[in-house]
Amino acid sequence: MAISRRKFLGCITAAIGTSAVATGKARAGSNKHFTGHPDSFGILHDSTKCIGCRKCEQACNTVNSLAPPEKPFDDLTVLDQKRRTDEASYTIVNKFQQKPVFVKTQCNHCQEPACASACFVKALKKDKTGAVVYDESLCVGCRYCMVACPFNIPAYTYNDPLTPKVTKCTMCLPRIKEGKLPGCVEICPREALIFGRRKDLVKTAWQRINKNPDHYISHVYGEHEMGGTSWLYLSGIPFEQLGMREDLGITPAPQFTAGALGSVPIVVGLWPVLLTGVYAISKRKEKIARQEQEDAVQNTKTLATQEMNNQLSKLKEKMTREKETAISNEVKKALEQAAKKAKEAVAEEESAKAAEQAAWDEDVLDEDPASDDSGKEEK
Amino acid sequence: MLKQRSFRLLLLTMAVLFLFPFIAFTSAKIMDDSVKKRPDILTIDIPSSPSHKDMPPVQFMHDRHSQAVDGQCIKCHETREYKVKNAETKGKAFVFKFKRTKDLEGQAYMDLYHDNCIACHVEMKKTAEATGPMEAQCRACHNADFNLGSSWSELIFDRSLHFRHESTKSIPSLIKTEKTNCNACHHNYNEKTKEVFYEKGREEACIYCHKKTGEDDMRPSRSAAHDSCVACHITLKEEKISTGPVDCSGCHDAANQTKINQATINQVKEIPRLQRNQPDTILLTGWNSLGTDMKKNEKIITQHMDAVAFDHKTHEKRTQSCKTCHHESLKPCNTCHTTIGDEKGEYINLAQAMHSIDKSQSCLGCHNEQKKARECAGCHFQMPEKAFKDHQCSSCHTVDAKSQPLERLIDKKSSDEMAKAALTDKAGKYSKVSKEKIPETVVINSIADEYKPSEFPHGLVVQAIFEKAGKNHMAKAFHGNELTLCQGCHHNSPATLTPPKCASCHSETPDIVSGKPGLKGAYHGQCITCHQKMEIKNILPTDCNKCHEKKAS
Repeated sequence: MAISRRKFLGCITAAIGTSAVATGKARAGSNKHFTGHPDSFGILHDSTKCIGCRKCEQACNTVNSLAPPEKPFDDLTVLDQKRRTDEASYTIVNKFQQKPVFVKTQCNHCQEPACASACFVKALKKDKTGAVVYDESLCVGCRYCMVACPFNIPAYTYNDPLTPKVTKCTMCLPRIKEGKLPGCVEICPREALIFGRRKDLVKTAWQRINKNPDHYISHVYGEHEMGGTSWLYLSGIPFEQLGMREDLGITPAPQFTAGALGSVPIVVGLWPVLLTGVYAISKRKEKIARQEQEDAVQNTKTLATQEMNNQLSKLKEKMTREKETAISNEVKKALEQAAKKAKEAVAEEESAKAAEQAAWDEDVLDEDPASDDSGKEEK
Repeated sequence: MLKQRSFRLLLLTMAVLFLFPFIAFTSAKIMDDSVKKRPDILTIDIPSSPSHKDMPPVQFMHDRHSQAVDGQCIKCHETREYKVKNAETKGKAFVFKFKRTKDLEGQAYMDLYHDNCIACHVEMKKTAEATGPMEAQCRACHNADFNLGSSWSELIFDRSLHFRHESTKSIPSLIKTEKTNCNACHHNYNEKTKEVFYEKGREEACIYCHKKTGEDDMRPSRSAAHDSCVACHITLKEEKISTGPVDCSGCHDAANQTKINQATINQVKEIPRLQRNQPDTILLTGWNSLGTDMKKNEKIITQHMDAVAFDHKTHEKRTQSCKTCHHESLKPCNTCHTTIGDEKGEYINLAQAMHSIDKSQSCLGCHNEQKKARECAGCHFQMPEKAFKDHQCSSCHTVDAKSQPLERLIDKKSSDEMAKAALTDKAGKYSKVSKEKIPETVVINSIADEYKPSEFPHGLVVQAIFEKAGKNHMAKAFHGNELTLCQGCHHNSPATLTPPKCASCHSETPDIVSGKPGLKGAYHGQCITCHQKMEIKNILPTDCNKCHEKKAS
């Protein structure tokens, strides 16, 4: 069945209206203006100060009782190869460029973590201290968090077949709760890592940049990246050259899905109603149309019948009239004939009268059949 | 057996065929990489030519062509007559344009190149082994992919080069009455008669008139330099006199520039001062550009900053050339940069001109740049550049002119002498710190934990700093009291022999709000940053045990 233009436009308007309502609702429901937990902690890493001593790696290993490394921590040749975090090292230091610049890598503890938003059992949660904490007991081992992390941080204990778990920096949350500094911060000889309230650290970072603009590039990595991270970085060269992604944008990961996922309840709840409404409206229109059509047909039918009847009666009349005329003509004719015959008969009679007296019997016989015919037709 | 062998052969052939494009590609790539950037690339681009849109400009290798014609400039260049007013000599010089004396337009310009280049290539083909592209090989020259890249670098005609030209006998004076040969290169321009002339004592740098882009009928600096320098070199070379380069790479190749700087021709240990009647010392004041009659407005002097005693002679020695400071003319700074600013000085007033941190020709700008040197950066890096308002005015503004008689101040000669006296006075006040008062070793043990206390060789470090500062003229001038050098490490402390301990300001943990490092950060920061900036290689930042031994666990 071809859809009418009017109906199509009606449907479109209805759909747009609903979706606008749906997304509006979703935005209000999402955490768009979430700027981190107030007074949450963070760590500022000044890569211009880092000397690449790997003490932080060592401290991290001790604090978290991780497996001893293949090469000792004071072996700095390890830095010649680019490494990433794994199940036995929650943090690593990488070396870049000829005139070496060192950067420490670990979980950045995002303000709005992608891993936590990807986790459907809430095994990863953003703590109000700023740490993104992992609950092993809830984890189902789907490793969605590893896929979701824009910084490629979470690792997995693949070598543990029975109780595997996701591993990453804890921001030393147990130590923070005890009032201690995170292991790496405490040991850093150069104070290339400083721990404090995130909002203060952002100020400190900018203070350093403004005080020495030639020394730093004018960018605090983590201030806005992926909606901001608890871990902040300073550098003298573009972060891209330190293997840090600059294409992440400032939108927190959950927001990419919040719009779509947030509209699910509305879509589920409202669409049946809407569609039923649209269906009902179109149905009603169809009904009305059908009624109108039927009426029209009926009308036409009656009109046609009337017309036909009229014509029929007219025809009948005409025919009757014709018949009558014909009859009257016939009658006339017959009468004329009869009169003629009568005249003839009179003439004959007169001639006969004049001529004869003898043939009187024959005249009576001719007259009788003519009077019989006219009587029959009139019936 | 045979079948197997033929199968192997087939496989091998297939492999070779498959790899062939890659092999060819990589070898081509290697060849590309081996082509070095050249300093002699001239781009021939004729916007007025009818086919300008269709054909990319030509990258012309000048030195390769001059080698091909055995350095005979005449093969491609016309000559012109030149004459310096009030010099009797006339001469012929090459016009450094291809086969023409004046610029052409459009089709004629294009044809000039096509006709002459191709004709020469055809001619060369008869005798030479290799030559350039010919007719119908358009893309061999007009090739956008053939981009060699230019390694051209600007030649800086510094004081040393100037002296070598000034003192050589190969360049005689063009004017008989003149003893010096300045007139051989320098000239002035009479705008009314549109003629060049020479006037002794009014020589200036070429760039003041011959701007980079050229203005009106003034040749751009590039043409002016080539017309003078290269033309002279060619003439001398023809006369078999040892002279400077005549090819592009001779002056514009970075390696050759180093050679020029190291060349022994007329090289002297101490380059003598230029002779242009410049003063030894100058009293820089704010009021002498006002143009008011000082005698009537005596009060004006009291409304200005104390004057600066400027050692012009010393600054001449430490700069590359006059242009380092005199960026537009050799006139005094306040001719353009007047006290309140003027159109001539682009409304940059005297104070701004002298104090802008970001301009290399200003006092502060240049001094800040000097502090980035290895010997200075150890301390100065950790003291970020001060804003103008944070500087101590009195370190330069030393002459209290208000107490001087007005006649002396107005007179240029006596005011400059006043500056000289102030400078001598300052140099005499240089005070040293006696060695005995400096502690030899300082044991740093306030936060010893994982490592044993550090025995810091304080005396050695201080002596090294004193020695370096003593050798540097600028450091010596500004650190008139050696004690101020202690403030490099003992920062924020007054210049004293008994500065407070680090721990009196730095606590164990960093103060994030004020940005003050903690004690551990302060110690390591001070030592490591200084070592890094002074490029001290024998103790690396990660050599923990060289400063403090690890405690036996």
